[in-house]
Amino acid sequence: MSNDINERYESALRYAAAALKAGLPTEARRMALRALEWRADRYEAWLVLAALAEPRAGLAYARKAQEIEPDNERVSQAVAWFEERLPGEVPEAPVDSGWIAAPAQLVKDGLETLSAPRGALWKDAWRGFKRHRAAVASLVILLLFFFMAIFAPLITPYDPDVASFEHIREEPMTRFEPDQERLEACHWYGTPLEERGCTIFLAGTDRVGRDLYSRTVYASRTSLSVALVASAVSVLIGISYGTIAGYEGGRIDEAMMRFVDFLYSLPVFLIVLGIQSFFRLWYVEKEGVLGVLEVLNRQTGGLLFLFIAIGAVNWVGMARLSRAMVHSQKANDYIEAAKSIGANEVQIIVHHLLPNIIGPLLVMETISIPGYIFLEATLSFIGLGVLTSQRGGSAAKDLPSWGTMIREGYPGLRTSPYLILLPSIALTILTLAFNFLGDGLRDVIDPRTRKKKR
Amino acid sequence: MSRYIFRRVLLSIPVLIAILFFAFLMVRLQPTGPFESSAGGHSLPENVRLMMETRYGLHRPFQEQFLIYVGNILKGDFGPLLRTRHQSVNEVIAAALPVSLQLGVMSILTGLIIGVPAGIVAALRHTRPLDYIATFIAVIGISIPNLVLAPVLIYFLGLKLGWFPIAFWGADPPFALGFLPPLETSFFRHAALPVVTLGISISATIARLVRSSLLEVLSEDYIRTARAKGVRERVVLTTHALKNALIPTVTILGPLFVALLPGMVVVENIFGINGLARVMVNSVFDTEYFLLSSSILIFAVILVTGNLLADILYVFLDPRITYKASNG
Repeated sequence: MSNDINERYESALRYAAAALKAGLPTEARRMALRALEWRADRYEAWLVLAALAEPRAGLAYARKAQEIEPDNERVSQAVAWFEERLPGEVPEAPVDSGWIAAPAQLVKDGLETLSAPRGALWKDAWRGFKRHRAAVASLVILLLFFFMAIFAPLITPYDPDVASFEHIREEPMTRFEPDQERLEACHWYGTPLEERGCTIFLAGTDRVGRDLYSRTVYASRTSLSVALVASAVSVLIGISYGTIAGYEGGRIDEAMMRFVDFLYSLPVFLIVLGIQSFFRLWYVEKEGVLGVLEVLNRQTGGLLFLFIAIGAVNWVGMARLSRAMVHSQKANDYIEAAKSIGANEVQIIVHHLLPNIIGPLLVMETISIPGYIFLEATLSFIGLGVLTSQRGGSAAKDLPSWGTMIREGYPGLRTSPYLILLPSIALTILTLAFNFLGDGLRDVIDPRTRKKKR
Repeated sequence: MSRYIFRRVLLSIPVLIAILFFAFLMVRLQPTGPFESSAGGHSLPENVRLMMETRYGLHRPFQEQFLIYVGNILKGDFGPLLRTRHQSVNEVIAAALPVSLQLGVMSILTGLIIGVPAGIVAALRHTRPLDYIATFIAVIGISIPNLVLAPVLIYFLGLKLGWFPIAFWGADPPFALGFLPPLETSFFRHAALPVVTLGISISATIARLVRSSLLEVLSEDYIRTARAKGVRERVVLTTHALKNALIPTVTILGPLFVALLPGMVVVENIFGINGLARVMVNSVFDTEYFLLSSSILIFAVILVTGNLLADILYVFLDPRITYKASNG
């Protein structure tokens, strides 16, 4: 119901703008008043009226708009413009052409914010977001995870690879007498924390005597970097592809989207599995670009190929989405306006189109991040993720990953469930936080749910 | 309508061929073959290796191998196993595929049985405590990865309480009609944990979808009209609202099927179920060329068909969608 009112209000405003453009001030005024009949509590119509009125009334109207939207830049501009032209209390009616032109520009700007509410969108979004307690809490948790990943050496006693066969599958909170070599490998050696970390296994050790707590903390680096890089790849490729297709339109659009539709119908997991099984035995190659890639991959512990495999297939959804959004924005006046002042295609896309669609697209990407984390954990679980020394892998040392830790730990579930306790909790909390964050963001930014709440 | 279906079926053929080619390519481009040791272990002598490769036709040019392989598949032969002499890929698949199908179908059914009522209840109690609880649980259900949920269920329901067996599938081939499981309590007790592991995330997805689409339908004008006419609330709900609200659920069944695959790989590994998903992953490590590309093909066929069926069902259910010859 409230949707209807908003729609009528907006279409009345659009008529008003069109009338203004066509040089029919009376008609424009009539439509603006009608718009006010629907929604007197929105500022745009007041701004239109201000633009059409003589300066003193104009100032009153602009102030009215300011009452409704005190923080809006354009409204303040309008008020300032009128105040400048009304020095003191003596109003004069200046009938120079600039007077009409400038407010008309202001109105146009006001309408622009209506069709592409950029600043308002972010402000509204943040206001709505703050109401989502779960989303805010998730944001805090995610920040903690990022700190954990960045400062991993500071908050863990050991490097994830320090093993000792004397301490295999130790229970959590086991105290032990470290030898000198192990003490020196301890991050906290020689600090006040030494007593707490270097001589105790906080979460126990795995089957080769590595500190489980340290490994779990370091593994957050793997998960988060896959999440970030995969979404960055997906956003970069997807948005540029989708934007170009959507903006060019016609044949190019059709051909590009046919290809995307085709990719979309391929099952992602099978493709990633194929790519990873191809990469797995690749290390034999030692020359040229492939050799360089291989070395890089080995140095990142298998992350490079994971990035490639996951990023290669997941940009398709983003491409479809951004193309659809470009299509819906292309017909808008502000694009026409940009064209009319002679902006070239690149300028229009980069300066006008992208800023208006990037917000929702990034939110959509947040929603798919848990998927990347799942995929990495699953691939590492079956031995096709990060490089390992297991299952014929080629790595000298294992990059810690929650998926790998769970694979190594679950056979010992009966006797030592603590082996998978910490990585399971970390993995669940991380995906939970991303899911809640994504839900909150989507509720806030999705125009459908947003309008319902108004 | 039939033209639309025909077109969709035709369009899925190039997708399948592309997947098969891709799988074959990825497997074949690997620098080490099945008869070369990769990790620096003992390799076969050169002449023996060449002999083995000749025997399985691996010495031919790539495109020739691919054509022969496709030709054989069309004849119903998925090729030989490279490491085991006495079995063929066909036999392995015939034993493993029904198990995976049973697992997948039972999981989706579980998801529907839990998810649809939960979604309806949440929508009817919109913005009341039950709704918040249900949506909260649903987010958790979506967020818990299979590889966490499976050990948790095993530990508490299997090991601590001892209610369910914690490994194996409880039924072996041959099955009735090739895929029907035996209706025995032992089978269902074995199936309980793996099916619930997979079913929980599915039911959470379905519950969220049913809730939001039912909410949308309930705010439509025709529902208000029906209520204003004095139609009883129960009738409004069942004949007017639910029928329309459940249609979008059908569309998600296809993508759900696709999303099920990584979960099946995990679950079959953890529970030691000898299904095709596990066979597929193991064949990567065993460099079983034909088994790998064949199982990828079979999963691709299942997933593409599932998607196709969901789409067609949607068109049948939603009378607003028509496909004219011009656009269909």
